[in-house]
Amino acid sequence: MGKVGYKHLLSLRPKSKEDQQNAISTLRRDVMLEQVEAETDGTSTTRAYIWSIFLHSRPKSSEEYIRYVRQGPSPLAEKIRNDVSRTLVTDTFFHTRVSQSSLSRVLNVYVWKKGTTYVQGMNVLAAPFLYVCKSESQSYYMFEKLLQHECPLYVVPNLDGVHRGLKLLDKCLELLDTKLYAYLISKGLPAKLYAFPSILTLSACTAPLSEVLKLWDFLFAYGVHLNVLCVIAQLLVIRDELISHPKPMKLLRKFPPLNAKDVIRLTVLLITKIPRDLFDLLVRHCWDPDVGVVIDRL
Amino acid sequence: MTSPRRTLLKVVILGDSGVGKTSLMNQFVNHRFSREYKATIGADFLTKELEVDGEAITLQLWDTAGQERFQSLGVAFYRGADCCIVVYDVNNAKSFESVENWRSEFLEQTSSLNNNAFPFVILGNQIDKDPSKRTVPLNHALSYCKNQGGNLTHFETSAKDGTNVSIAFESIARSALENSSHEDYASDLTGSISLLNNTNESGSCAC
Repeated sequence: MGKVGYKHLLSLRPKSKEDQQNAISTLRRDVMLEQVEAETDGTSTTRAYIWSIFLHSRPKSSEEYIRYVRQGPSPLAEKIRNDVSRTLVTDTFFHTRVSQSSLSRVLNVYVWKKGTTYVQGMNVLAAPFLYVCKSESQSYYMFEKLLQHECPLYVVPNLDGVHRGLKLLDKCLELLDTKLYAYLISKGLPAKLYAFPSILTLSACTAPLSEVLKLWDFLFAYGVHLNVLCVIAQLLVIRDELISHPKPMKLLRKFPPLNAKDVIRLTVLLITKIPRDLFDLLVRHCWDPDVGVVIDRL
Repeated sequence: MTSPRRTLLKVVILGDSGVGKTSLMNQFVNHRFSREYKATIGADFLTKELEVDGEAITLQLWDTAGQERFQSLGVAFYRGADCCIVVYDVNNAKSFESVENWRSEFLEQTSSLNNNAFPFVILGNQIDKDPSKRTVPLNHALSYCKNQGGNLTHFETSAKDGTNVSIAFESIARSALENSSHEDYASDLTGSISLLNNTNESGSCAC
């Protein structure tokens, strides 16, 4: 068995509801054990399909999307424009493939359609979809699914879910690596000071994009809440440097280049060490407002 | 390695998105300007050690994303600040109009007891650009600062070529120092108890 490619997807074609569930489970497992077939720049013929399955994003006609685009710039267009030109600036692959206008349109349509606010970081969350998908409207619908169903609390005006994710990061790190946690705290560094961007953007703020896409394969398969552990895994990769650095923030201001395979492998290990009740909070923190009070009290 | 007694000062940087908050901080701390800049997500954090009037201090710079006026980063981000910097772009009149909003937002968040005494340093950035692009004349900014009646200092800077950056930050450090209670922290500053109290007492999610 090689990588997860289109032939494999076709062979999963389910005949019943039960079949479908089994097929998705198989796909999840394969995405974790194998890798999605992709070029070195991260482009892939199958990834868009795999993501749309995991995100429950059905194929949709682009009519509705186009209608919103026709409404022109949203009330937040200026803020959006300001950030669009500053999105994944160092990634040349991204900029050869995705235009600033399309990123801008996706974000403006989101504001029009959902009548919500735009928060910095949404630009980074939208970018990978535009890179992966075959059409702008497909990118939009997957982006919308992610924000509305997977991590709605991350993009509320107060960024509640992000604050909670950061708190859970501290709690998990304290448990998983007491020494590292204590060292960072002794330097006045709770997670909110170094991991804010990584939590809010599901690690997409860390280059290279081709590795971000692999990490997102994993996160979409098993749940974006796992990103909290993925961020811890990224810390553990440079643990020795961190713990011997007099000013660890110097290393944390810009995380080391992402290596999805290492991070996923470590994350899977970390999962087994998190107690059930804490893990339950982790699972729910990005979408369930009810666990907010519990997390805030931790 | 033990460091000498240092005073820890917390400085919060506010201002509209894209005015150059992160670039100013980078120019001051690392003497670098990067064209490859990215929008700040949430907050960014840097420290710089310097000496002001013979006193060793560590400036703790809390750089915030420029759009979160109504998206609270939590009181913890603002609380305990010894000085607040508000940045605008001299080529963007709107960013200058926002200065007062940022200032009152900050005072509201911190519910400072003595609003008039709290030091603000207002920085008009991006003066390196073509003078014909300028939309905020220097005297506008100066009269704003004067008319506010509070403790406001003003500088025009260029994060790109470094103009006035170190002078401005020295003034910031001095304002912060005057405002702080002059407590000394014996050990390594970033590990001082003061910061932990500031960041933890309200719970990390102070929303």
